[in-house]
Amino acid sequence: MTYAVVLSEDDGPEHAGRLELARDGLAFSGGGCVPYSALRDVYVERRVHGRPALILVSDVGERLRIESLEGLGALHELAEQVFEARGKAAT
Amino acid sequence: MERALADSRLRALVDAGMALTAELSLDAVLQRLVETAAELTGARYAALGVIDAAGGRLERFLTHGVEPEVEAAIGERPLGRGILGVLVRDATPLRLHDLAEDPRSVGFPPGHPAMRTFLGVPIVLRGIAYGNLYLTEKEGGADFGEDDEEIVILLAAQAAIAIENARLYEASTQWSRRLESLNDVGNAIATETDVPALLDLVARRLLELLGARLVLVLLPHGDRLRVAAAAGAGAGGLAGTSVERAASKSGRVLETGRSERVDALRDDPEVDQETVRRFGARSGLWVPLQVRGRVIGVIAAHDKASVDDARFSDDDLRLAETFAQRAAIAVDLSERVARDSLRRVVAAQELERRRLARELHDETGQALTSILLGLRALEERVDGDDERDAVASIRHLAVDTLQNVRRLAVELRPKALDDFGLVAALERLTETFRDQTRIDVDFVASLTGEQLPGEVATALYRIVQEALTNVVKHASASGVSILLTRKNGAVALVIEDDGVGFDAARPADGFGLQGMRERVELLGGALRVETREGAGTTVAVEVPLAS
Repeated sequence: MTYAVVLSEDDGPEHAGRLELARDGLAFSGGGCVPYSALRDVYVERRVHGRPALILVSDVGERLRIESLEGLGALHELAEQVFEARGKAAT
Repeated sequence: MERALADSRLRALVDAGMALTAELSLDAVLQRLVETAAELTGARYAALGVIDAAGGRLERFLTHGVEPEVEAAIGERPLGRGILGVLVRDATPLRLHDLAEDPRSVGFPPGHPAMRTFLGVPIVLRGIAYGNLYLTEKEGGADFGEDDEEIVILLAAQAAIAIENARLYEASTQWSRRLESLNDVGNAIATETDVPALLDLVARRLLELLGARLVLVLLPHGDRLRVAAAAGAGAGGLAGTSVERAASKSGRVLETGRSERVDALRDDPEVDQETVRRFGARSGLWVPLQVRGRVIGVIAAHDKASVDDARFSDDDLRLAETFAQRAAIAVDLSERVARDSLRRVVAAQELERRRLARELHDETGQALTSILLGLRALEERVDGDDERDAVASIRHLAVDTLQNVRRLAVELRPKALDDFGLVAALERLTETFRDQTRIDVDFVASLTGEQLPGEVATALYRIVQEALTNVVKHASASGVSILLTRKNGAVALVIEDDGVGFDAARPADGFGLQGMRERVELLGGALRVETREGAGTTVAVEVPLAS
């Protein structure tokens, strides 16, 4: 499953690209990959005057902010899948 | 004594003629003819050569008097050279004292029984030489005489009638069987509405009717023809493959709407030899699937299984054309049913989205606005800082929620699309896209203020949405240009990016192109994708507008 997203790392510059939910982790079109097992925290952030975003916090404290560019419900669908994959990786 | 012999031979001739005309099987007529000729003349050996359609060679050769093991040892049947060929060319009776002495003789192959005396008589069917009777080695070593020649000429005349009867009977029986099959097929086709299942049925039934080795049903797919169904040898590996329209016989038939038949594919320069190798075919026939003057596909059949040279006949071509006419109607009907169903589904989806958007905006949005107003009033009335902060926090949440609800409503169904039209909606969409992604979008529209029909505007809007999503997901592009124009009674939309492109030959299901194409085709339009790895992608759509 792939999603069109806008990413930013540790509140840095944003860039648009593809996010793919691979078997072992999240793969980004820019070349990065975050294993599910390395995620310390995952939650949906809501900001005033902003779009909701999925926040991934790695076990070394790096913070990745993901906004979906696709339609209704895509972010929440992505969030649900990441929650599930992370849960499976932990067992 | 001589008179008694002559009477006896005449009686035998009459009996033979009656027996011949009573036979309805062509093979039986021919075999009986050879045996009767030998009997009437006292020839030890008799043969009948049937001349081929071109009139130059013998295509069949039946014998009487030669033992099967001797025939097997001789091997190849004569083709009509030497003395046999003289009759093929001249079609006049010939009597010889000694075959070997005639300068036109080419001799006998090894193992052939010795033959000296000879009588040959043509069989003429409605003025055309059908074949020849050859008689050799008259009993007692005598030469064949004039009376032998006369009696065989009379026999040949009777045989011509019998052969004509048998051929007509066989042809009518065959057509009767084929008509029955066509009726069965027509009924089966008429009851099948699922298009892929229908195409499979078409391929299988035509394979049976023609006795072909392979049948393919090809449908247009962009600039190629896709094998939508296949039946016969190697069919499993061919379904889903495609051939180029421009370089194939199928493409030519699609273009011209005229059937074609090729007896030897290797020798035809218009046939793509790579495709011939892939299909393993020797011969072929192609018939268009045509409905109301429009060619919607092509049926190709290869290699008639029951003949040595695998060639199809004129009858086979006519049969395939008749079958294709019925199949085309059924395919067109099923496709229209499927398109209508899909159109209704899409229309229902858009209607639901519009209603949900309205509900969100008018009900949920209004409710939240009321909550906000109430919270503002409350904030002004509470005394404590903590209480005021709590109320402010709830108000901010309400503001955020209201904005989300409005955004959701736009994503479901942009109001601009219904209120101001496609251009305004796309201007808004591309602006939002630019802000969110930092990808440069250049949108140019030259529709000069006209409003497009609702379903056309919706389809084009959704296509641009999908295309922009693809740009983010796959293109790694820095810029996109979108052009919306009027063009010859149609609206044209071109979306071009400067990204990495992709291999057009690779299936691109993840790009939503199939969905885009279906939306466009529902409206009678066409979608074309041009792309090359490293050279960006262009999606071009054209949708006709009712005048």
